[in-house]
Amino acid sequence: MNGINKSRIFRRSVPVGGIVAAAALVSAAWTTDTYMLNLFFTIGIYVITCVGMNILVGYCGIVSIGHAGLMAAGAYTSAIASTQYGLNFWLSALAGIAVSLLIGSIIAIPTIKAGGVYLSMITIAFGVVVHEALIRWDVVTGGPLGISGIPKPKLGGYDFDLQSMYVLVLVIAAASLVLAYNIRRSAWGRSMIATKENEIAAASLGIRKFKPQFVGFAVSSVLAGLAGTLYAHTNSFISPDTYHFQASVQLVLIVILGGSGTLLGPVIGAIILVFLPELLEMEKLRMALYGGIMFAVLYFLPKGIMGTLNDWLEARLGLKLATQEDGRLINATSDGTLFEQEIKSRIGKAAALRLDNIHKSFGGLKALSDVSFAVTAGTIHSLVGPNGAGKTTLLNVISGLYAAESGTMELHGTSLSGSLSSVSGLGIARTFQHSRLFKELTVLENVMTGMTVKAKTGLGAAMLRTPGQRRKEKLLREKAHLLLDLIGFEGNRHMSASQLPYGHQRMVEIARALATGPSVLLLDEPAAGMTAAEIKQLEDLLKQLVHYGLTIVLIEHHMDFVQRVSDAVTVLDFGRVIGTGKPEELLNDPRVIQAYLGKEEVAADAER
Amino acid sequence: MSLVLQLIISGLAVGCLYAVIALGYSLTYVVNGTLNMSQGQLVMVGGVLLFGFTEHAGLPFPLAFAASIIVVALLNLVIERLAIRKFDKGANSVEWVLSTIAVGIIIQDVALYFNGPDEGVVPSPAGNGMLRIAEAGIYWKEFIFFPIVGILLALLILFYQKSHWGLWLRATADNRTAVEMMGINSGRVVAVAYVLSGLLAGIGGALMSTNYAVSVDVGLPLGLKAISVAILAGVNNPKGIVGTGLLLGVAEVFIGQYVSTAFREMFVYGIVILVLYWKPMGLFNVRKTLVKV
Repeated sequence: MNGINKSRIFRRSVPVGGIVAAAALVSAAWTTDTYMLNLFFTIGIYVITCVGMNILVGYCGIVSIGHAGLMAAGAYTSAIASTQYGLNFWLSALAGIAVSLLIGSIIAIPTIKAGGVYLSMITIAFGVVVHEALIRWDVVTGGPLGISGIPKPKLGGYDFDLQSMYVLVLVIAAASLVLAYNIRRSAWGRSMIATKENEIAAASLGIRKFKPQFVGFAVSSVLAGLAGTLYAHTNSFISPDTYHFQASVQLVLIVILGGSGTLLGPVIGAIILVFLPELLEMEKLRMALYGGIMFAVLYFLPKGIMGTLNDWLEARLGLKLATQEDGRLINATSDGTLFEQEIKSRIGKAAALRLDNIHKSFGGLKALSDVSFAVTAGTIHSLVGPNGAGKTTLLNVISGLYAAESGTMELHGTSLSGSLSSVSGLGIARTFQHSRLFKELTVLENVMTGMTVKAKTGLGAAMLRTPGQRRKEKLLREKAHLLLDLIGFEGNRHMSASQLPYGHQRMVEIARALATGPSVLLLDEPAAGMTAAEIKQLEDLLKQLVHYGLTIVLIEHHMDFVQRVSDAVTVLDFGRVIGTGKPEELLNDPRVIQAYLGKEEVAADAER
Repeated sequence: MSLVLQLIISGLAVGCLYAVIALGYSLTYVVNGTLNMSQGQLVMVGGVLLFGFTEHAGLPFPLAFAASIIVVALLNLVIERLAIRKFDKGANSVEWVLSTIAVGIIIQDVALYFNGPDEGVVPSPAGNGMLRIAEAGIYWKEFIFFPIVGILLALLILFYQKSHWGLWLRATADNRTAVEMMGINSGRVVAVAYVLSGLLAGIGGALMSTNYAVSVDVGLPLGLKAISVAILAGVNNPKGIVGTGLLLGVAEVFIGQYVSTAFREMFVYGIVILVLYWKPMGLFNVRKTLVKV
């Protein structure tokens, strides 16, 4: 109770503290000297850029080391548009942002597909090329001397000066923080983190990596371009020196020092990195110092300052800066009506799933040969067989993760094919042999991630957190709660999934799969690692799901469990179907026993 | 005609360097999926050290050459220990990218501190004479790159095929878990891969300094160029890397001659980006995609 009280006081004190801090920051425009104000302004510029970088690094897991190049794109476009073509600030800034977004997209599209280290390399190369271009392309960029005489903005009759530019930057920085916070609390933020953590699990929920990651890159490009234009028009002079490789590294350093993926990380990082050189008064070895700090952060503070602080507050004081509001709409009992409707709307009449002559081999190894069987709608169909019989391979073929070499599959009478994410859209959900929960997300968020595709959250609505978006999020949260009720999850739903005991992880994974609104559920050894009580719970759940009309395909090694829950069993051995039938008949079949235990003489041989 | 031949030969000489440096990425990447983003700076250290050892310390060339590449190789061993081992946590981790970039920044700034911004060329033992091939003139000090790099690659292949370390390296690249189960310390195998990669960087840098001016800021662009080679070829394809390196060297010289010197780099990186649109995993990548997500 005490913890909750403290937590509430803490949460209420946050806005108050925010208002005080905002007032202090705004008043700094008139209370400090120009030198200090310039530092404050620089921090603001860094915050705007690094909030975008944080979305990219922290949420999407994309480390771009070329964002100074995007700032340059914004700054130079805007500067050229206003000095040479006489555009006013607002239009030239828009042009700067557009160019930054365009260039950002051009590098993002191929690199996101390639992923990982390729991406970092290309972004570095991009930054270096931009720097080169600024120096060499002197007819346009002014070469090493840069562009000077960039006009300050005007609005109506008012001319902006350093003070008012600072306030403008402050407002934009605050707005970008809100924007990042809104993204994190929306389906977009969840998809970003999901695809970063586990691409395959995300795809099994119908979420493809490209879209959220591209959006992350695009948002960060826009913010970098915006920061670039603001800097150019305030400083009234820009040169290539501001946009070298080290500047891009500095941006990344701000993010990871502050704490990537944390809301206030970029602010803390920017403050430290702007003031540190002032305090140290270092002329030489400044970059080495930055490199050293980066190294030290990676070694000793992998979560950055804010990440570590958040963990500490949570552990010591039970305080949590929740990313998700608590409280439920309805305190409904788990009658599952909501869920039942959703499933019933998807159920067809024909056999739910039909496989004909499926072949799949890896190199010379025939993992599946000539596999055919049908799964009746609304039943539990188990796949059993010794290790290496091809059960998981078969599940991967059905769910689209592997392509079969030949053979056909039908779902509700229509042909079934496609990738993991597209099969998910057809109404097949799956879990994995080893838990693939998104560990950075809370239990509730994990389940909500399963609803991403159907919820169709607009990016603009998510960023602005419109009333419609709030309602939608509430509904998703409510549905997720219902699903967690359904699987009987009793723990803290706002706890990150990484802290769950293994058995609970498996159950939450089922809830997440159900959240996609499937008509067929594929479960790969759900009972592995569960206690007897948990297995009983699982059994009840599966029976209830079938009662709602769901079709379940189950891989399991607990034979008594299989016997209790299954309506039908298919036995696989060496990639071939030995038989399909009722569990009580099939599991006592001599051929099946032989497949599991081996022939007598073989067993004797092995013993010797 | 002689100009074209001359361009091809100088392009191939530059390409040799790119190939050697890019192979350094490949050696470690296949073993544990990491590479040293400060490889370019290591190359720079190799070059600057050779200049320092011969011009300032007055060491004889062979000794200075050996000392430079050994220092670089050991430096890469330290980098593996400090910046890779702790951060090598599977396919999706990016910490090692950051940590090795940090190392690169530190190396470059420390080198600047001790060496200053000046650039220098080491007088090549091959001398300043010219070799004439069908009216094309090529300096001996440039031509010597070909036999040296050729011998180096042959030795490398021999090492991989014949020595037990080579066997372990190939085995670890194939299946690290299986190697561990055989009782081989795969951490040490990774360390050996890094030493080899450092040797290549050191040799590349030392070679380079005998024909091109070397200063502390050549490392980063050179490393990026080599990375482009590795990306174009597919990081896990050594033969492709050698071919692509040579090709890029030649292409660069021709672009510089007939299109524009100022925008040479942009052409190169533009091509890399275009190739990635077309083939995200590189032109000659040997890995087959198994899963469809």
